[in-house]
Amino acid sequence: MSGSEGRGSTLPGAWSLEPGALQQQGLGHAAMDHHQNSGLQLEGFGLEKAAMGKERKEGQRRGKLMNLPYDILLEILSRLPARFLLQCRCVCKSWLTLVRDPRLAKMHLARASQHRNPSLIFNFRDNGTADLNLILNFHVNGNRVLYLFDLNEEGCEAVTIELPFLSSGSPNPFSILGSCNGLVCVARGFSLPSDPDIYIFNPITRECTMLPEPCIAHTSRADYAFGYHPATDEYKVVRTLFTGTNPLTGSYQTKVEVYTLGSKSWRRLEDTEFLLWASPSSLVNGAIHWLSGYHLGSGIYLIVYFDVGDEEFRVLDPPSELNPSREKGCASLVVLEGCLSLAYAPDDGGSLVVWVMKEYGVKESWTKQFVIQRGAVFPPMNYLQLLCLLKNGEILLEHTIKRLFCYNPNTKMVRHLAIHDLPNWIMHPTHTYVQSLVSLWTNNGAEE
Amino acid sequence: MASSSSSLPSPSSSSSKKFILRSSDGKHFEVDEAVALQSEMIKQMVEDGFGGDVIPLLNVSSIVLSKVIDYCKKHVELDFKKKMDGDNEAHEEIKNWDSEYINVGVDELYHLIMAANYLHIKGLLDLTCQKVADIIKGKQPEQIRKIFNIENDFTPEEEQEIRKEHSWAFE
Repeated sequence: MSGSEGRGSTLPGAWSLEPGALQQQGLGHAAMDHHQNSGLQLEGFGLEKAAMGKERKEGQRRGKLMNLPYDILLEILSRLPARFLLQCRCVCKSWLTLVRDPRLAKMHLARASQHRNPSLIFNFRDNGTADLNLILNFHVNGNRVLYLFDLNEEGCEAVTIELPFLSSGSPNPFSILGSCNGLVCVARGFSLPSDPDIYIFNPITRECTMLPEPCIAHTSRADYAFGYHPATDEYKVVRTLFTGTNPLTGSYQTKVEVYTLGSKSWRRLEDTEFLLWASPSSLVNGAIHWLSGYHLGSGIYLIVYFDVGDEEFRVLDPPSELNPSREKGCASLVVLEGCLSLAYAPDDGGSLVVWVMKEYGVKESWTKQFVIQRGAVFPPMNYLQLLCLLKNGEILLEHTIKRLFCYNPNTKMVRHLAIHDLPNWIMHPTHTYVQSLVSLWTNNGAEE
Repeated sequence: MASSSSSLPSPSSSSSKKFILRSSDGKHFEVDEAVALQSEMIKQMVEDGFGGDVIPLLNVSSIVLSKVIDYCKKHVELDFKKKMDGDNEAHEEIKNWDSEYINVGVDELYHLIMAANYLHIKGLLDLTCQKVADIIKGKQPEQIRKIFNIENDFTPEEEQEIRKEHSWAFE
């Protein structure tokens, strides 16, 4: 029976039912054996029968839902918000086991990524343009907390999350470097001349780890990207240091090292000739993508990716229609519906064009998906950053003057997304993020 | 079993074929092939050459089975409509019909989940699991215990400890 594995057919030992459960299980197995003898595999058979037997014994007095198979309960819980699941842990011991099951974290993540809008995370960044009183108000806690805004909720208030590693009144602001699967990579002290401290943490479970010292000495500039590879189930942070251009070939020189979550140290990789900074990276297909130059001043865009699994740098072709060498403009990468996408806005204020690579790695599959006309609502296009596609079909855009917009490609209407009690300038840069129960530890052999 | 397999009509003539489903309490339900094949389990049985005359569903009672058949019939009808009238209208109708259909008590919900799981009707399993999730969403642990009739097997100290561990989730 294809696709049926693991649903309702097993009752792991951890799932303890009340007295009488053993008898039910026994009954279930007997019934299932009987059925298999007749050449059929009928899942859940005994369970239903058992529950009905129980019902006959105890009448209508007892609720039945608690007799649902373990896997069905996982299925149900995977549909609830991550934060709420933490509350569910104290319902009873069985539910504590359910919520702690790494399978629930995976099912929950898959469902949340596919069926729900992401959340937004951002933090306080004083960029010098804000009103001084507002800054003072926010300075009390503002630079120590992460703001989390759930795009699925009706309300328009952001939740504040205190960062576990900043709770001791640290004066250093932090930067969000990236997020995937509900884990967030942040840097503390990014503006200092020395290396920042890098942390990976889960804002929902508050699990947190600080990365070890990198092995390549800090030079002028270090950049970080955070990624995940599904096949190896590994989270990695890539640190790149641009060290200049090769005087002979004119190509860039970038030093690279990698940290795997759960390991004890960074690992140096071979240098690369790609320039890997500035643009926020995009994680698709187990690879981190950058928009990069190759030769200084050539004006040709390259999409460089780092395969988080085999740790090789490779190149993808941008849409052939895109020819930035002819016109000046601003391009950025974004992930839309799981597809690598490229947004391009020419400096002359023309339309913002969004290409989507429908089939990963296939140049011909680049499709011009949206053209967002420059209207009265948008100041110059090149300051727009695409964040994500919402489930209602709208495109969420961030304008560098710190405002969030939802653009409806069908009606071409724009609405402002307001977040209560926060001045607009606080929100930049905004990252999309999925609330999850994913643990920092379960993938890596180490225990909590 | 081999004989019933060879007597199956070819797939091309199967559109008007009827199936007879027998509930655990021995009642017979005659349904169109398309309706029966909403169940992956029945589909698999048929593909394996089993279930020529009467398909015994040994652990779905007649009350539950008739409710499940309602679901399958309606979804066959709506799937057809979707093909004819386009996505949007049918989508809205499915949503409304589903929410009306699933407006049942927790005991009935339990039997529907078990039947959907047993018969492998993905849409019905999704619908029923989502309904339970909707019922418990936002509820306090104490209320959830009531709905599920779960006994709190933590000592007060243990429960306090768990609450403390993720105190922000309870704020």
